[in-house]
Parts: sequence; structure tokens; C-alpha cells
Amino acid sequence: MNDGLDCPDCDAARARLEAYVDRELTDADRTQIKRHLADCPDCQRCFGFEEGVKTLVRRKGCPELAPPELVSRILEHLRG
Amino acid sequence: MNALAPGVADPISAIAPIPTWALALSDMAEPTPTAPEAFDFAAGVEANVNALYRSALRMTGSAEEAEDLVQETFLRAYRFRHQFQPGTNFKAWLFKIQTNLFRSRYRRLWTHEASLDDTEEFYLYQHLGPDVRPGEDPSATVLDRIGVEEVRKAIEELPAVYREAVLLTDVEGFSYKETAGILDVPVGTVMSRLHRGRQRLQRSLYDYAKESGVVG
Repeated sequence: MNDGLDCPDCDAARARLEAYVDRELTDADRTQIKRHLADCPDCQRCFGFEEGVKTLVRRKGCPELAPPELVSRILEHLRG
Repeated sequence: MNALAPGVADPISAIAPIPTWALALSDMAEPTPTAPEAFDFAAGVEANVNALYRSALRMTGSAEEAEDLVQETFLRAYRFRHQFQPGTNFKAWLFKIQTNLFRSRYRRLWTHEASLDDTEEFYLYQHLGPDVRPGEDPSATVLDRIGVEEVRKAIEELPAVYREAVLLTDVEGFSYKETAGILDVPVGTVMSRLHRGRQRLQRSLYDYAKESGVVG
């Protein structure tokens, strides 16, 4: 597996991996990364994996719902 | 029902003096010209209670304390509702209140000095990435084997400063700027906490998944 350490383009892409996955890059930067991913299967796998980890945390990190009695209690308080 | 109808007496006005943090909410979002009376607070409760509860649960580690924290958050929000600008981000406003309540109640857990050992970059990918076949979606294969319990434990194990950044951004979907507004820190600090928090989270996820036998 290419860890990106020997490729300047991979280094630059992976330095912005989190911002890419978080949708925090400008359109121009995002396009630049996508261009690199199209040419680099290793980075494509790595980015896909990190997006998967973010999805895992979102889906399985906090599946609990608030108890219905909590909602009722809050609304009762608000009504006075 | 509109709990914010003009002229309705505030039922919780005698609870506590106005804390300074509740007055510093102007950086959350740009105000819009929407009339204050158009805002339905009760609908805002129902739309956001699950998000506040799940976050409170991961922050406190206790259902009872989470319920109490969420209830107090809404009571304070209702009391200071005149400070909320309808049309701006109500969820972010509620999270800012809950975050500050958590910090004032759980000072022992709240430390800026929390240290994390440096962990290998992309820890999960380095260890599980080779199991992903070319063209395969890791979410449907390797990562799908990691269960709710492993993810919950890995999140709860993070020091509070990193945990709240990860919860706000990864679970609730707040932007860096919104998260920075909620936590009252610069965007660069959010990015740094996220980076370190995620590194640690990935390490824990791998350890727990290995321990429970879902990965080799």
C-alpha cells in the first residue's frame, strides 16, 4: 500500500483529506483533489475509507433516541 | 401550539440569573428579518431533542444525567429565547447552551490540558485498508463489521474536549465554523481537536473491534 510518503501529490492530497471528507474545501481545492484521486487508486482507496469511517461514527456513534417522557416533560414545563 | 406567542408569561424566569455565556451568541449566524413571534419553540424542541439527547448521553455517559442536561438546556433556551434570531441556526444555538451547561456542571471532566498520545495517521486504514478489495465499498464490508458498542465505547473514551468536537462535526454535521461558534474557540482549534480526536478514535475502534473479534 502506498502510504503517500514518497509522492508529493499524495502528501498534498492527504494533508487535506479531513477537510475534503468534512466538505470544508473550496470548490477549486475540491476539484484539484478529485483530479488527483482520479489518477491515484491508492489515495482513492484511502479517501473512500476515511469517508466510510466518518459515516460509521455518524450512524453508529449515537443511535439512541430521547425518551418520549423527556419530550413531554420539557413541553409541560414550557407550558407552565 | 406556539409556546412563544407574544404576551405569554415566561414560566421559568425565576430559575437563575442570566449567565454571560448566554449573551454571547451573536457569532452563531447572521440574523434574518423574520419576526420573533413567528418562531415556534415547541416545534424546535421536538426537532432537536434527539440530537441534544444523544450528544448529552455520550458526554455524560448516563441516561439520567443526559435527560437532566437536555431538560435544563431547553428551559434555559426558552428563558433566553428573545436572544435567538429566528431564521438562524436554532440547533447550533441549543448546542451552545448545552455545551456551556455541560462545562459548568462537569468541570472535573473538562480540561484544556487533556493530552493524547500521538497515534499513527489513518490508523484504521493502515490496519484494515488492506482487507478492502479494489472497487469495494468499505462501509459495506470491513467497516460494517464494527458495531454500535465498539463505536460508542471509542467515543466515550475520548477526553471531553476531543469528544465534543467529534460529536458536533461527525455526528451532528456542524461545519467547522459552526462548531467553533458552539465551542467558543477558533476554527483552527476545532480542526486540531478533530484531527487528534479522530486519530485516537480510530485507534480505539481498531482495538475494540479486534477485542470483540469482528476484525482479524
